[in-house]
Amino acid sequence: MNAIKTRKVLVVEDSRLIHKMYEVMLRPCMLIAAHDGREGLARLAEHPDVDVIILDINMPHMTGLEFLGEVKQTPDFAAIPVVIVSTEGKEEDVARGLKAGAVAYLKKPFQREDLLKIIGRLTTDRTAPQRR
Amino acid sequence: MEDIFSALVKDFVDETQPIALEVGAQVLKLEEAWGVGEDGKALLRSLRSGLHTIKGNAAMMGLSPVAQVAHVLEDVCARAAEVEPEDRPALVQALLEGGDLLVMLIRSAPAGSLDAGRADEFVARTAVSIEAARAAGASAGLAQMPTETGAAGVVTSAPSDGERGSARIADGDVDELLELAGEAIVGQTELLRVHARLLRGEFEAGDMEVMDRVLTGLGRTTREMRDRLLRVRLAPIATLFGRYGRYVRDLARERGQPIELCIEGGGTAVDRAIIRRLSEPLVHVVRNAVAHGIETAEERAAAGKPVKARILLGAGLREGRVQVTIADDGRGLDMQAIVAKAKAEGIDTSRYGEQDLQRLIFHAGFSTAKTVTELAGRGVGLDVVAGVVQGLGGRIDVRSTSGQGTVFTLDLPVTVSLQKALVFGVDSETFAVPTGFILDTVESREKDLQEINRVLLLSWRDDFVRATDAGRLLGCQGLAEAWARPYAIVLQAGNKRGALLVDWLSGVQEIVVKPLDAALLGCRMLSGATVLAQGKVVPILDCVEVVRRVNRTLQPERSGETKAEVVYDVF
Amino acid sequence: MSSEERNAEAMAVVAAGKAETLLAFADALVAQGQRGQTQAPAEVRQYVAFFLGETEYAIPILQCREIVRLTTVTRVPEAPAPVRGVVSLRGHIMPAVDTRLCLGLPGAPPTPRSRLLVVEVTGRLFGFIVDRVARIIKLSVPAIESSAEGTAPLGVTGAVRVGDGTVLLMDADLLLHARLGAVAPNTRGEEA
Repeated sequence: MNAIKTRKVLVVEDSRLIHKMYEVMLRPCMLIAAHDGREGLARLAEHPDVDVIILDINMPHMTGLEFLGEVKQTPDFAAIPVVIVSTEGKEEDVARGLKAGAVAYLKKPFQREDLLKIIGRLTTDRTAPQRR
Repeated sequence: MEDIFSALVKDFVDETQPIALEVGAQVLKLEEAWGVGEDGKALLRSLRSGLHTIKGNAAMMGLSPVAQVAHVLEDVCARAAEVEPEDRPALVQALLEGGDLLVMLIRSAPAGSLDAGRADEFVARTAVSIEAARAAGASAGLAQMPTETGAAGVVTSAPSDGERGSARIADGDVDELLELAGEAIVGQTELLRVHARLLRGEFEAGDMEVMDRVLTGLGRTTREMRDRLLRVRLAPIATLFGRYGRYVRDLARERGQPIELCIEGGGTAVDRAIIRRLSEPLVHVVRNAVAHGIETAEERAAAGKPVKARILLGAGLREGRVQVTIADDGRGLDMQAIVAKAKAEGIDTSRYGEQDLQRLIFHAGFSTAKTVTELAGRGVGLDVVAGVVQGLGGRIDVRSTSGQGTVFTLDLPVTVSLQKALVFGVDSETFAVPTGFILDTVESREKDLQEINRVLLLSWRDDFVRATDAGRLLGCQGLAEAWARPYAIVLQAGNKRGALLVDWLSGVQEIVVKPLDAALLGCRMLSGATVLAQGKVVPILDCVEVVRRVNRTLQPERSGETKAEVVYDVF
Repeated sequence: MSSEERNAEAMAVVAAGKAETLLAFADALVAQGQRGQTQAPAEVRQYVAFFLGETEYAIPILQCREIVRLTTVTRVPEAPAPVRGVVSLRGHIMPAVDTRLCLGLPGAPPTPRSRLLVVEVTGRLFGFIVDRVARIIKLSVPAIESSAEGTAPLGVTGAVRVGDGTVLLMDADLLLHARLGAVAPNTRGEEA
């Protein structure tokens, strides 16, 4: 668990409550919060060194898929792994997200361990030499 | 999760309560919008979005009663777009009640005293009325008939089998149809009243009776409407006979022998669909008569018969059914051959009268053609003819007198209901799907399928659609799995889609839909059955129910599965 | 195979194209057997007797429309337990009911001698699958009435001694209503 405290995570999610939850779950990590796709892109521009993006695929306004499309088309951000978070009944969205370039998915409600496991597998320790 | 819960429950209430409170206000705005004739789609979208957030938040907090209520309200909103104006008040009612319930439940979250019972009751009650509305919507389809009447009362009949055209309908019939439609609407209104009461939880003693009476009446009314409209499809049977006339003349010329064709009752009106269906098989009866029935000129002269043979095609109405006769004055059936064949089949022919023995020709394998000539036809025996006739709900009989001739008699209904369907097979069973629900049929390879959260998805047209193994869904006793099925049928019913994974597809055929006995009402995935030309019985799928189930079916649980799934090949 | 069985089987072959009522057939049999008898019979009811395993059952001839060979039974998903599927008889589709399951007996696979008893109940046709059709029997009314007794599976209305064996009397109407519920008229649609 020590290893992930140095990760930088962008969370794109419209619910403030869920943001608070991520804060609690990912405590040692540095969390960047965005509440919709547009804000997500803005935050990414400010923090292009984000290790992983956690994306709620079911957001209104700029949808998760649209945001994902933009990210994957922007060379500076395209390599950042994206984890999709969805609710039950939206499996087609998950498939679309995976097709658009996301590398993993989580279904709400999920456990802290699952989230940590995924982030751990997708990212490296910041203090270790960069492998990208 | 315990500490997370208590730390965050206040935030949960702060964030989710305002959304729940908004539900009521939004529903009232929706009602207003509908009132002025707007479709309210934007409002519905906003409502659904809010409910979705409530559901997600509540799920994360482990507050499943809240999540379930939000979920069922989402379903109600989903139906709202397609529902009839008369049903909207009931919908509004459900949403308002649900919204209030959500507020109450969320408020009680911090104290941990959620009224799960009340939530369950509301969910169950609302789910039931969604089901009922869905079922009513499915059968109300019958009541929606396009009746664009012009000045002379001409109605354009639904194009069938590429045979686009118009049909004439008498003004009197139009009036009667409108009256029947009116009756149907009155019945439906009565049902709505009872339904609205049930939604509020008030059930009166007379309600069952009302529903019984109205449903029986509705059934009768809609059937009558359909019957009257089917009659619009009538055409004189002469169109069928006319084709045979030319055929007989050609055959006669080929044989170098004069054959006279007499037609009686050509004006008898028969369903176009029946004419279409019978056209091909009956040719073989006529062909049989010319090829085997009629003797050579010499034989006829020797027997003292007029050289010119006669074939009669006749039709008439009797007791509301159509009688078709195909007769010839030739040599009659070869009884010796029939008896020999019967004996070979192990039948004790001494017990049967002549006529019963003659009827044996309708069994497969009883064709008594000794020589296969150009005229004798290819592969269509009288058993197939009998099968087609019976499949249409009719009967066929034969009477022959040695040396004098043969008479085939067909007894047919005046109208029949045909539908186009795709026949498919899975494991060793066969089913039919009405083409109206089919979006596409595609090949399904392993790479086209993926499983996410136990939901099977098929890649289709650049997108994804939920899929299910047809064998598993229909309870077939096979061992194959979804990935092994080579084909997929993509269906759409209402606004839902679903794909069935199957083993083989047959072409589209016209089938006669036969109802299943009331004892089989529990077979919700079926809408009836049909008998194919070869005599095979094939159940017909009810696509509305099938698509619904496809959207609810989860793949079997695999051991050691976590809720998270990592799918990547990075690094 | 007894001559009665062969006759019943012959019926199956001829069934296509017309509906020969069992009444006429039975009358012919009875006439055959009674040739020479001058005594007028007492009031008698005729029953079609069939076997399920080693037990002989009989249903009133008036309920039975036809006996046919058991052709393919098409399975129907989610059918109630006693219904094995549907069969087509000259284009008409009806449920094929496993008589054994209806009576609470264990099921058994069909044999070449299995038959379908086509029964008509309130205008609906059902096919009862039986192991083999035995014969037509005549029972006097007093014998029938005195047989109703005690505990019997639903649908069995009595037991009668015939010859040196016992025949259980069955009522198809009762049995169907008990096992398949659905007392309502055919509301799904009309007959094609």
